[in-house]
Amino acid sequence: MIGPIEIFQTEAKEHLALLESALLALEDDPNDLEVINQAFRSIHTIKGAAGMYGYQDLTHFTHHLESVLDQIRAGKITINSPLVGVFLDAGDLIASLLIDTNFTAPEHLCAEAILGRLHNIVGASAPPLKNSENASFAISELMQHKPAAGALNIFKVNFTPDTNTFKSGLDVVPILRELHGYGECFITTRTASLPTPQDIKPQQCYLSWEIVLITVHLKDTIQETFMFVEDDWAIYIDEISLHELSLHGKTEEDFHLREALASAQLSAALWVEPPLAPGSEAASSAEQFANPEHINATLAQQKAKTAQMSKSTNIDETIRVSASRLDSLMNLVGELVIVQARLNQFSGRAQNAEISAIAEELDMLTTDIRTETFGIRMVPIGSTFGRFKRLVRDLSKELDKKIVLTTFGAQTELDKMVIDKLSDPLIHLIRNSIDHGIESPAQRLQSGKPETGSIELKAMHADSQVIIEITDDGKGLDKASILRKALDKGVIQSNHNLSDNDIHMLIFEPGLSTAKTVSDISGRGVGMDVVKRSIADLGGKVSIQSRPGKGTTLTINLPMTLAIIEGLMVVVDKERYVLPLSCIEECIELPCKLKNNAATHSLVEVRGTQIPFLNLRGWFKVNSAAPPIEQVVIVHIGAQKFGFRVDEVIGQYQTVIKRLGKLYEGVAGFSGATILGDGTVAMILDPHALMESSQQP
Amino acid sequence: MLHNKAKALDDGVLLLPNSLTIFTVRDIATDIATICSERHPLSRLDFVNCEEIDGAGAQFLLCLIKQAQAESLPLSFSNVTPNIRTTLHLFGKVHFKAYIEELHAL
Repeated sequence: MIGPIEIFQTEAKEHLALLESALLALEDDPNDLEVINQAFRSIHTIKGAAGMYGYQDLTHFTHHLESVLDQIRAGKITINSPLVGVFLDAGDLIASLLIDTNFTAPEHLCAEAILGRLHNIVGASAPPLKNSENASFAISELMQHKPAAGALNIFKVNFTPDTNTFKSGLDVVPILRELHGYGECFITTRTASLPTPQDIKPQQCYLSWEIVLITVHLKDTIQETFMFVEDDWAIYIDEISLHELSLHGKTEEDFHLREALASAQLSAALWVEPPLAPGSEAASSAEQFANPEHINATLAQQKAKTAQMSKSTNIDETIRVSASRLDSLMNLVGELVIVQARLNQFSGRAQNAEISAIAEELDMLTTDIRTETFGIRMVPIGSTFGRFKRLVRDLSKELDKKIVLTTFGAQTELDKMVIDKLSDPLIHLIRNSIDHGIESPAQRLQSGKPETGSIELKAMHADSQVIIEITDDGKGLDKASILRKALDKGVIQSNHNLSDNDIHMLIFEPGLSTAKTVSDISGRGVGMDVVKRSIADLGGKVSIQSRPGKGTTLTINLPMTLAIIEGLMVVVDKERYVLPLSCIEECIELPCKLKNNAATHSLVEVRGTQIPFLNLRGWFKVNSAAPPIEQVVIVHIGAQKFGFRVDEVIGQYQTVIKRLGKLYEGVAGFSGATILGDGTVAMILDPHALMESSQQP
Repeated sequence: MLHNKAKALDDGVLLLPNSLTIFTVRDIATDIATICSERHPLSRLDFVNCEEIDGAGAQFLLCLIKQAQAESLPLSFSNVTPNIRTTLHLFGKVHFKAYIEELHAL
C-alpha cells in the first residue's frame, strides 16, 4: 500500500513537473494568466501539503515563492526570464527536498540564495513577503481584495480528522493555518471526545472543528486545503447564504457568524439594501422568495442538484497504485495467458463440447483482462517531454545557443516500463543535438540559417510500434570526421566500403564518441553505444538520416509493450515459431513450381509482384523432408514486403514475451521466446532482423 | 542548551521542555501525573523553554483545560512565546484566551 508520505512525494513531483512546464511557457508568453494560475496552484498545493506533513522548512520556502507568484498573478510583477530561472532553480531544490524534507545547512544556504535572488529581481516593486505565521487577512484587507461588491463568501467548514491522523505523520495545524490565510476565520474546536490527560494517546486525534470562514475565495479553493485527507477525514464545506441563515439563532455557530458580521460591519457594507417600497415588483418578488414553501422547494432542488453533481464527479474518481503492483499484475496476466493456451490445447484434444465452450469463454475473458491490463499500463509519452523542454532551455543557455524545442504527439501512448527506460537515451540524444548538432547563432547566421535553431521531438504510432523522431536543423553529421575516428579507433578497416548510412551508424559504436561528447555526458555515464543498447533492450531500433548543413534526424522504433503480443504461430520441422501478427500481410500456399526449389532465398509472385522470401528450413539448416504443402507468410517491414517459407501456419496466438537472457542476446533474428501451453518453448521471430541478416553477403 | 525534559517546580508548576509535540506529550502527561500524586494539583505550565508545538501538543493542552474546568481547578500557561500563542489561536481564540498569561516586559 502507498503511504501518505509517498503520495505527497508523488503528487509533489507531479506538481513540480506542472510548475516547470508552466514556467517554460511563461518565458515565451509572460502574460498568459491561465499558465500563471497553473504555476501558482502548483506551488500553493505543494506548500499546503508540505505543511500538512510537518515539513516546516519546505512550507516556509514555498510560501515565499507562492507570495511572489501571487503578485505576478495580481499583475503587480511581470515575469521575465531571470525570474523563471529562479523559480526553476527553486523547483529543483524542492525536488531534492522531497526525499529528506529537513533542510541541511547547505540546503538552507541554497534556499536563502534562491530567495535572495528572488528579492533582487522582484526589487522594490514587490511588497514585503508575508510570513506564514501572519498570513491571516483582516477583513479590511479582504475588502480591498474584493473584486466586486458581494464577492465575499461565507462558509461553514466542519471537519473531523481520522483518529490516526497524528500517528500517520499528519497534523491539523497547517490546515487551520491555511484556512486562516483565506480570510476571517472563527474556529470552534470540539473537545467532547477528549479523554483525561492520563488516558490520552498522543498519536490519536480526538478533536473536531467547526469553522465559519469569510473569504473572497471560492469553495474549490477551500476544498483544495483538504485534498490530501479528503478520503480519510469527515469534511463538510457549505456555503452559507444570508437567506438560509438564522441570524437570531442561539447556537455557537450562529454566535460566531453574528460576531463575524458585526466585526466586519459587513451587513452595512454589503448586504443590507434599502427597504423595498411596499407593493413594488421587487417587494413582491422578495415576498414570494421568502415564502417558506418556495424556500423548501428551492432547497429540495438544490439538494437534488448537489447529489447529482457529487454522483457525476465520482465518475472520474481515480486511485493511485504503485508501478510494481501493475508489473505484478502484468506478470500474472502473462501466466494466465499461458495457462489459457494450455487449456485451449487440452480442450482441442479432449473433444468435449462442454470443456470447449468453457475454454472458449475463458479465452475471451482472458483477452479482455489482457487488454484492460495493457490499457492501465499505457501512459502518454508527453509526460517525459516536459523535462526535455527544461533540458533544452538550460543547455542552450549554458552553451550560448538559441534553440526552440517543438514537440508533437505528446498523447502517443506507450507502456510505462518502456517510457521509464526510454527517458535517459532520449535525454542523451537531445543533448547531442544541442551540443553537436545546432550551431552557434553566429555560425547559423553565417550559413544563412535563422539565428534560432530548432529541435523537433515527434512521437507517433505505426502498426504496433511507436516511432520517435528527433530532428534538428543543425550542421548534420561530419562523415569525414566519423570515418577518421573510426579508422583511428580500429572500428573499421581502411578497405571497408561503407554507405552514408553505415558511416552515420558508426557513431553508435563503442569508443567512437569524441572527447567533447564524453566530457559533456560524463555525468550521465552513457555514450551513444549505450543509447543504442538501451533502445535495443527495449526491443527497439535506432536509425539516422543526416544531411550536411541541413540537420539530422534520429528515428527510434519501439514496440508498444514488452509484455504480450498477438502472434502468428508457424511450424518448421518439429519446432514452432511466432511471428508478430502486426506485421503479417497474408499467408499463401507455396506455388508448386517452387516446391522443389530448396534455396534459402528465393522470390514468389503475389498478384504480379515479385516478393523475396526466406526459406526457414534452409535458414535453420533443417535436413528432414518438407511436407507436401508449404506456406509463405508475407510480412511488411516498413514499406518493404518480405516472405517466410514455413511448413505450416497454425494460427493466431497470444504471446507472452520472455527475454532470451544474456547468452542468446546477440543471436540475430529472434526477439524473444514464449512458453506454450504444453510447457515447450517457441522462439519469437524478428522479421526485420531476419530479413537484414539474410540479405547480408 | 536543550531542555528536552519537563521539570516539576514548586506549587504545581511544570516547566515544559523545548517542545510540546506528539513525541513529548506522553512524558509530560506522566510528569503531570507525578506532580498531582506527590505534591499539588497542576496549576501552571511554564512555556519559557518551549519553542515548538504541534497539533498533538495543542490537543493535550485542551485536555488539561477540559479537566481543570471539570474539576474547577485553576490553570494557566505562562511565558508563552508569540509563535506558540499564534499556533494556539489557530484552534480558536476562545479556548486558550483565559489561560494564557500576558507576557510581561523584561
